[in-house]
Amino acid sequence: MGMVLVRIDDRLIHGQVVENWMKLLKINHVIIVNDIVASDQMQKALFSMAVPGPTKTSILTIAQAKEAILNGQFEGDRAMLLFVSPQDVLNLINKGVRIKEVNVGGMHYSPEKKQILKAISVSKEDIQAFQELDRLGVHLEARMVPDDEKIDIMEIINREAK
Amino acid sequence: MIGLIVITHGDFGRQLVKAARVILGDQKEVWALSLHEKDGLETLRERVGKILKEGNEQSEGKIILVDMLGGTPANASLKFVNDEKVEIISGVNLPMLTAGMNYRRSLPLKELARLIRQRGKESILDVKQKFLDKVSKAKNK
Repeated sequence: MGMVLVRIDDRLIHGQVVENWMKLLKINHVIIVNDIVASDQMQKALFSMAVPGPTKTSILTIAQAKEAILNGQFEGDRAMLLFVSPQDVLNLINKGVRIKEVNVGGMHYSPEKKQILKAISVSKEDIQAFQELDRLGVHLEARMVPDDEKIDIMEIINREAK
Repeated sequence: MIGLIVITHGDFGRQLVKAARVILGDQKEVWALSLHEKDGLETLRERVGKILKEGNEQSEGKIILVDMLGGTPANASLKFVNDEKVEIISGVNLPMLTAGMNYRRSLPLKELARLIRQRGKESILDVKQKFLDKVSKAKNK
């Protein structure tokens, strides 16, 4: 089965992911892909604790994720890949990993960012990364929880970027 | 007095504190933090950190009550896991909060945390069955 969902959500593992997406998609392996989290023992412990029951958790650097995916390590799983930013997704794709579709679930607000949707705020760098992903043919949808309407995030971003 | 911080998804915690105040009257050193859609993990951590610094010098510590393990309120609180004066408990409900409010002047931090956890566990019951048992006991007397 492999990668069932690829999601950008800077809270990584949290209520919406655990109680909603994981249950609906029957995810049995959660994979966080982020260089900072993967090198921080505290954060690694925190996020492994946040995943319920028998679900496998992996916390990988972008380089490790590339190796694992290209070696087919998640082939037998129903895996969910979690990223904090579109830049990280782009990095992984640029290393040779194929990703067709990305769900954008949450990017928190801060003063230097622009809020474009209720749960999504983007910086200039985020906008550039999204545009590059779009150019590479990656389908991008904004959706916090499964029941929400799928929103074409590129339409909003391209409007903002003008 | 031990401080209580309730941190939840949405305004659940704020309303829970309100409900507890209905029962016990006004309470000092109680904080409620709501996590909304646009908030990030880091923002919430900062807000928790700020509250932990509040209160007087002789503060006997604070107990953080979160709604569920695995949620951002719990994840944000775990940043303070090494703080001796902080306890973190998940699954907050009304009996837990009122127990915390009632005994925080008389119990030390770890004891109070244990009591709150115990109250939480004891508060989930099959109410119908419990009632029927009482009725049948009364009849058999």
